[in-house]
Amino acid sequence: MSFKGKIEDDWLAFWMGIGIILLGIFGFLPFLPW
Amino acid sequence: MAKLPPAEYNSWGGYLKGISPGVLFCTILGIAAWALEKIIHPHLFMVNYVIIAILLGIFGKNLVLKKLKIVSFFQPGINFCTRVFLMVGVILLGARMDFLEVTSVGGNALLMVAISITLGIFLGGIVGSKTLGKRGGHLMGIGVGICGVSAIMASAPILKAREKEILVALGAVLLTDLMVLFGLPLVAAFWGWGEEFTGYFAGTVTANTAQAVAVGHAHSLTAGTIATITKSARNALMPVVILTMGYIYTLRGLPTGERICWGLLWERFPKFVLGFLLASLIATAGLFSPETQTTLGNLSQWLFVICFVGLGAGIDFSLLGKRDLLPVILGVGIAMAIAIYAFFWIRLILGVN
Repeated sequence: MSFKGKIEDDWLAFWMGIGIILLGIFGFLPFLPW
Repeated sequence: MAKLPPAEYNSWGGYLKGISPGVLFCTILGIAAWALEKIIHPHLFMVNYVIIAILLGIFGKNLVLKKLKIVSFFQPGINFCTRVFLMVGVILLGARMDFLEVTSVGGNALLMVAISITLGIFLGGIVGSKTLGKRGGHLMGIGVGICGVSAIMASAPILKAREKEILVALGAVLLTDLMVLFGLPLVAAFWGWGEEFTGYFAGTVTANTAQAVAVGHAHSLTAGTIATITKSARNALMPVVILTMGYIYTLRGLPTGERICWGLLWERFPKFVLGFLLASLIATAGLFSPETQTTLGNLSQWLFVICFVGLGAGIDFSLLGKRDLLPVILGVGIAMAIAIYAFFWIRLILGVN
């Protein structure tokens, strides 16, 4: 697959954050007690 | 905002491979900082995981990576931690915040930081016209007033700044920040500042976002949270400032490097601030279970610790001696003026002690 396009670092952080939050909402995030 | 992956990588796979040593370096030292805090903090209360993480970053880079001549191997990952991990950490911090609290702290901060940014640019213009040139002075004022390196890099093309002006402004901001990073926690502890006061103060005076978060967390969790919100309010004002400066330069008949339009406002808006607001909205709507909220809050702290190691690793001993002293003194002067203003605004207008 050839490499296409680039993303701004703040958009990358935005989608990473939202992705983690969605995992949390749907119960896929392992519990981190500390 | 920087584009990822950088030009030297031709695929995401290559970039992930490129950043993994640096990310691993920061993560291992971050875990070490967390463990060391348990040993050192009971004996020296001012030395907590934030200070330890920064110091481990400084010494790890300058005494180990540099001596072994392997800095370039670790640098891409270190840069990734200080920028992307920080922004993700701020977004996840929103998950344990009440939206009303965010808007209340953010609302308090917004007018205060709008004035501090104007003060920074105004003073930058004055000291600049006598020394570096008005353009260089404005650039330094924007750097000290908003968010250091990113604000300088974002506004430099608009102001058509020359390379030397950019370098001088960057040098001044980096060294000013270094003094605030280590000076502010000491001052706060010495004078016994409260956590709310320290949070607002750190968020207003520190130029770099990672350093504002670090200085706040060095005091307490609440101070760190307020500092993060205050700093995010400053970051959100960045596109407005850039547009206004471009507009003023156009009015004065000075050439600007980019066409001033509304699209630019959105383009320069830091999107992680939106993520932070969205996360706190979701939390307020009650969509997170208590366990998920704890996990997201703790994950945010871990991302911050890793970022603090990267922050320390960004401090290069060899660069410190090469800077001109004058711009540094000017930068410190502007930061001091903002600090005095912030001190009285927080005490008298916000009524926080």
